[in-house]
Amino acid sequence: MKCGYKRVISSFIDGELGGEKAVFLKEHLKECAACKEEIEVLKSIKSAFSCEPDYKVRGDFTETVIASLPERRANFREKLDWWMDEVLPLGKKLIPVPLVLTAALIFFIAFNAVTPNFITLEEVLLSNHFTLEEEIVLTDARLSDEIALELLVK
Amino acid sequence: MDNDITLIERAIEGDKSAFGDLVDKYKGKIVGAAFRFSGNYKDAEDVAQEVFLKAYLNLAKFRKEADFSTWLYRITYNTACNYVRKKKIKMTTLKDDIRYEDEFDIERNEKREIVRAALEKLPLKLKSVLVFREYESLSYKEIAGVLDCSIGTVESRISRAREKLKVLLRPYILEGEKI
Repeated sequence: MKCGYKRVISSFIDGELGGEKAVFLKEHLKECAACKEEIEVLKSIKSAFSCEPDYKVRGDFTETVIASLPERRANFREKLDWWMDEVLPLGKKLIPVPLVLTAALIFFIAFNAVTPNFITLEEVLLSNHFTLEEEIVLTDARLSDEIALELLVK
Repeated sequence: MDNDITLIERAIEGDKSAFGDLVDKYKGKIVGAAFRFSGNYKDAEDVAQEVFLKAYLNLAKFRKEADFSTWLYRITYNTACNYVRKKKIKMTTLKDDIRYEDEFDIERNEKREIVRAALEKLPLKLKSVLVFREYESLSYKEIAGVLDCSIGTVESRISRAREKLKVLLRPYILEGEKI
């Protein structure tokens, strides 16, 4: 068969081909004898599997399984897993989010606690706690004409 | 009977009878699937027993949004493959080793044996998708869940598996008889 529909035909006979693809294939089958034949062959193979009977499982199978089970009681972790799955299906995936946020907050608080509260010289000067002379000495500023005149008047 | 989630919750707490109900419910499917992979009935029951033991010990890891039978099938597939690898048994079917619900006529037995023999010649990846599709009647989505692959991969593998089967069964198809 050279049509290139093999994969689609296989899905089609399984009832797994939906929507437009199925409509398109049905249209194609009207004019393609090779594809029709392919479908018949695959259906034939498929039907051969249905000859399998159900198996009669040994009567005491369940009892044998139960007897082989160890004693167990859910530990805390298992209960937590189960509970998380119950109340928050995405719980496990989201656990890192609050953890990271908490860690970031702790880091921020700790950093601020140990970091000295530096005040820049400009802030001190703006607060007007110094006299004009002190300002000149601290800032190593060159005297402008106005300031020199002011000092002279003082 | 309680639903699966209730039974699982009780089993997690150590209630073996609740787990027994789950075993009763799924043993047919699991032994059947184990048989397709292990190749004979005795090994199939051993594999199925191991599957239920593993399931019991890992119940808390089962995700509720998943289907319990799909989860069991996944354990079955992995356990059966390991079992076969360890025992180095060839995946062949022993006719006399099977117990059936009913008697089947010779023609149906022959047809079954022909298909089985052809199936055994496929690589495991191709065989597994057909086993889950044809014998266990799983949808492509369910098979993808069991084998942890995409639906496209399942689709492709099933198509390739059928193509190989077609070649292997060609003598029977060409005889004009529908197998």
